[in-house]
Order: sequence, then structure tokens, then C-alpha cells
Amino acid sequence: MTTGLLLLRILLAGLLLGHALQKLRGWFGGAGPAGTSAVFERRGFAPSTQLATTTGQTHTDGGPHR
Amino acid sequence: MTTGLLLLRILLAGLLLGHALQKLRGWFGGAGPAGTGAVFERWGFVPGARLAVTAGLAEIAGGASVAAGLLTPAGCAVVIGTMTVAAVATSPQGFWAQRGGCEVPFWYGAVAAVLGFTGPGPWSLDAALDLPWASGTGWGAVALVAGLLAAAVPLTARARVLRARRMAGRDAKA
Repeated sequence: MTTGLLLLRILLAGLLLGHALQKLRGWFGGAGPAGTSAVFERRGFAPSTQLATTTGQTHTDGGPHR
Repeated sequence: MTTGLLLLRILLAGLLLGHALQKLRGWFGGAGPAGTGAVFERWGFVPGARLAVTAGLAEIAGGASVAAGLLTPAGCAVVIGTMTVAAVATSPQGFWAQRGGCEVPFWYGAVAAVLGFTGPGPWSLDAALDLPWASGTGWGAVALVAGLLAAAVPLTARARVLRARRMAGRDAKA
């Protein structure tokens, strides 16, 4: 039980961190803040750059530091 | 804890069932056995239609075991094995999902491995029948190894098909 829950948390945090760095830094084939913000804008999230950065930061804050 | 593990099991099983019905029946925008079989053939899984049905049935069987919490390590091994094959097949597109990489099968397989380690929790048939693997832990490692070994069978056959195709391509060029 203990091992499994630790594993689940680390796996989830790792994947979220990857998606955050795609948005924030453009790593792992991500588009970075500018490219992600264009997608966000199209989906109706404005101001998109700020929201893309916030989303990425929420990914990282909710992830590994918890 | 009890609720969370039940929820995790049902979510995983539900998503697997959806993917199985895409392959087996063409539901939810899926391509059905013929269309999925064509993709499988392209990936080197031959005969494609039959292996697409096998993959769909494995997803249903593994998902049913996980949802019921019955023979959980065996069900997890089936899911891990199926998702390992899917992850290898999609890995040429990289890891991340936005380019069709192997993130999704990796995640499903990883959750199955997690459920092997946690055990299915008290609200499960394994626990109701007092079966020894209901507590998880070491059984997660058993499920992981069994799943990876099972995946080696179709992956080895696929490697042989891809090698034969490469050789045929070289002969055609020469």
C-alpha cells in the first residue's frame, strides 16, 4: 500500500512537471509560453501568456513540492 | 483510502473498456477490428485484425479484473503487458501525448503497476475472499515482471516482421 501510493504520487508529479516545462520552457517538444499562449487564446483563455505561465507554475507547485 | 483505490480501479477499467470498444466495435470514434488491424499491420503486428481483437479483449479482461478487484495482480499484469506493447508501438512519436507519443499507454500501465503495489483495497473481491495478494506490495513487482515478460512475446514477433520488411526493402532497392 505504502509503496504503491508513493509510486503513484511520484509518477503523477513527474508527468505534470514535464507538461509544465513544455509550457514554461518549451522543453520536451513543448511550445513555451508564446506558443502555448496562442493555443490558449484560441480556446478563449485570455490573457493567454499569463494564464499559460500560471498553468505551468500550478503544475510544478502542485507536483514535486507537495 | 478505500474510496480512492476503488475510484482509481474503476477509472482505469472504464478507460480501458472504452479503448477496447474502439478496437472491437468501432465505438467512440474507434476504427473497429479492420481499421485498427490496418494500423497494427503498419506497426508490424501481423495478422493485424486478429491482434487488434486480442488487444481489445486483453483490455477488457484486465479492466474487469481491476474493477472487481479479483485476481488483481493477474489483471494488473495483463494491463501492464498490453500497455507495454502499445507504448513501444507509439514510442517513435516520442513520449509526450501531444504528438501521439507513448505517454497515455505509459500512464495506464503505470497506474496498473501502482494498483499491484497498493493492492485493490478493502472494497474488492480479493479482500472479501481473503486472498493473499489483497495487500499488494510484493505482488506489484510480480505483476510488473509478469506483464513485461508477456509483452516480450508480441514485441519479439513484431521485431522479426520489421526486420523482414527492412530486408525486403533493401532487396527491392538493389
